Amino acid sequence: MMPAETTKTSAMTGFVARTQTPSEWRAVTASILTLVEEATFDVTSEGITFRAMDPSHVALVDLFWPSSGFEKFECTKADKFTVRVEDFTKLVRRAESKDSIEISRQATDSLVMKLGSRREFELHLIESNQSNTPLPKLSFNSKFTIIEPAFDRVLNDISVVSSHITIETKKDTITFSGKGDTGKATVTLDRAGQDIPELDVKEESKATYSIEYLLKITKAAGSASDMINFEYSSKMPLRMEFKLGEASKGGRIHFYLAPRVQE
Amino acid sequence: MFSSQTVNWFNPSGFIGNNPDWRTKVIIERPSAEMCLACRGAKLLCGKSRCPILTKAESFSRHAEMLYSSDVISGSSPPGLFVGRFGYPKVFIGPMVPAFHGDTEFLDTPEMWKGKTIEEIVDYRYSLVRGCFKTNIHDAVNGSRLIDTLQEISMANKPADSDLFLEKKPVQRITFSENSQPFGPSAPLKQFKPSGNISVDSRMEKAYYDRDLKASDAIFGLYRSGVLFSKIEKAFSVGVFGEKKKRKLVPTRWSITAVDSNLSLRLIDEIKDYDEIDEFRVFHGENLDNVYVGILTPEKWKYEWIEAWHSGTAWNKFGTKPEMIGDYEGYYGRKTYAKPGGCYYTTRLAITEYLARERKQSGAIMLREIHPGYILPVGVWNVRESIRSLLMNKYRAFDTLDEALNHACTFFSIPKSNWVANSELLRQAKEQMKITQYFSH
Repeated sequence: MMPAETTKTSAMTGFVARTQTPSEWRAVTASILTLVEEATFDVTSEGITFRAMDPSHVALVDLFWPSSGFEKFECTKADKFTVRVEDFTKLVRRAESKDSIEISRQATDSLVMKLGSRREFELHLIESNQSNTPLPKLSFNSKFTIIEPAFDRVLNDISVVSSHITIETKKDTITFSGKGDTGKATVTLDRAGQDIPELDVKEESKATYSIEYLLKITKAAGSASDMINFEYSSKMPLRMEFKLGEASKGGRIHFYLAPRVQE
Repeated sequence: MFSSQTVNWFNPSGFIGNNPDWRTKVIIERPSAEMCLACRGAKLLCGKSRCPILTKAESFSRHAEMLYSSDVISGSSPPGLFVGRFGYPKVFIGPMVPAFHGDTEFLDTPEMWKGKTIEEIVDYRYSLVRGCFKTNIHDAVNGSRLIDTLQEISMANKPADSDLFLEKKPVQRITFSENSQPFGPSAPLKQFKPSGNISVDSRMEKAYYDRDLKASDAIFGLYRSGVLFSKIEKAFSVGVFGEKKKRKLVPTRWSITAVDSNLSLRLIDEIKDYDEIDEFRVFHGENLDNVYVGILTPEKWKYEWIEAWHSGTAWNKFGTKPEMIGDYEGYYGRKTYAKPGGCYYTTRLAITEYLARERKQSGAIMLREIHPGYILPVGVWNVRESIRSLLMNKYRAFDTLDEALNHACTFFSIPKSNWVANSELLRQAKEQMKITQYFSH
């Protein structure tokens, strides 16, 4: 694997970012599409970042995609660009699995996307009306890593009876449960199983979250990541981490979700 | 004694096989309110070939005076027409004509029925005779003499004097549906002849001749130019709008919800650009023994509709307690058909109309409590017009959802706890934390 090129060329006024395959962009755009219709990306010499909440302010996506995560990355001056996520996603979906994706911005009002070496699209940018979103200040008492298909199965199991999932971690086990008008569902996974490579419980934790949000983000971001790192505390928001590409390159999507608290 | 309250009709635990009376006694004679509310005469879940509640409703009005003893009806069509749904895609269509001339527009214009009693509405509908002719829904593309005439009268801007020649005397019956207004006596159609020129609405005619204009663009354009909902829906049902090859007939009861849904989706797109309201607003109104309350919340668009049917009302005839049904959608809308059916979409139109008029965005929790005076389902127009007039009333503003909800519940006989238990948006407001609450910790 070639090391990422990170160059600074003073003659350039915009940026160029190229990935070897479309899978990372697919995961990024699909994840963002679960929450917002318009997205403003920040581009600096460090890489590309994005952060936004859904309209109900229940979930937050925080993307960190360092320059080292790209095959080629050049940025002379910090920049922002805003797109309609649906339009941007449509372009990304045009890429075939072996195509590289290169995005660049030279003109002020449009973004150029090259798929492979022969296809080129120009996407008109829109005006940003997004305000700066801070991150929630959280400390997590329970952490675990779960393989993506296992979590997907858990969510689908619980969603048969409920629109919410309660996650309870003990020293050696994680219990996922839900109850609704039609009955109850419980899935227990333990440390010894293959589904949970890591489980670290500082303090036993129990919290309830909306399955709808979890299903959407797992489907969207899980496509690029085999594992999901999961962190939460009792009756507090959770944070899911999906790696973008090779874990060593440091790219990741953080997904925060506020809990459902029943008195 | 069999009771619909104690048997889960979806899973009678082997009971049905052992006791042949079960089906008769429980499902047909005493269908559960839960089943009736999910069906409302459309799916015939009880297994009967005709809905027993609607049949009973029909017998209620069968004693009306025998208005028609001839197979030729001469009068002014409001204009009115009907597209049936049974046998789809081969459906019965036909014009509706009363046995008198003059300004009959009110007979088929629900927007004019505000303040009328159920009996008056039944009388209006009973006076309209419907001729029935079987045709394929795709015949709307190429047309036929009857379809062309129906399309023309659906665009008429005043009643059309017509003669209706029937194969036999009309069956003296009125049919009810949850979605559409009641329909009166009918008979197979021999010939339909409007006399004289039909004066058509030029806005409708323009959409009709534009063979590249999508149906959804056509109906939204007409709605924005002030054409009444019932007129748009009528023309839509008879295949007046849409791209040339895609035009088709749409059964009346489906076309009402299609137009409600389509128009409200356009308005939702529009209101998402507006600022949110900065207070909780509570509206209250009553009509035909229905109590309506709207709670608007200061947040991005989301919507919920809940109906509570007291025992003795149209769809809870045999129950002993109120039965509730509702559904909701978040900011990005929904993909499945809402459980309460047409009322959900018609209320969504009325509330988005209000927000678009106010140039504001909000969440909307719309509640309806139906009392026993509502003996017959008269169609979703009743809900649309009631919510429209509710939103013309003065509202009371509150600082918190709790205060707003407490005020809202003073209008209902069903306690607050039942509304909260049945409302996803109220439960969300109470239980779902927001990520913003953790920014400053």
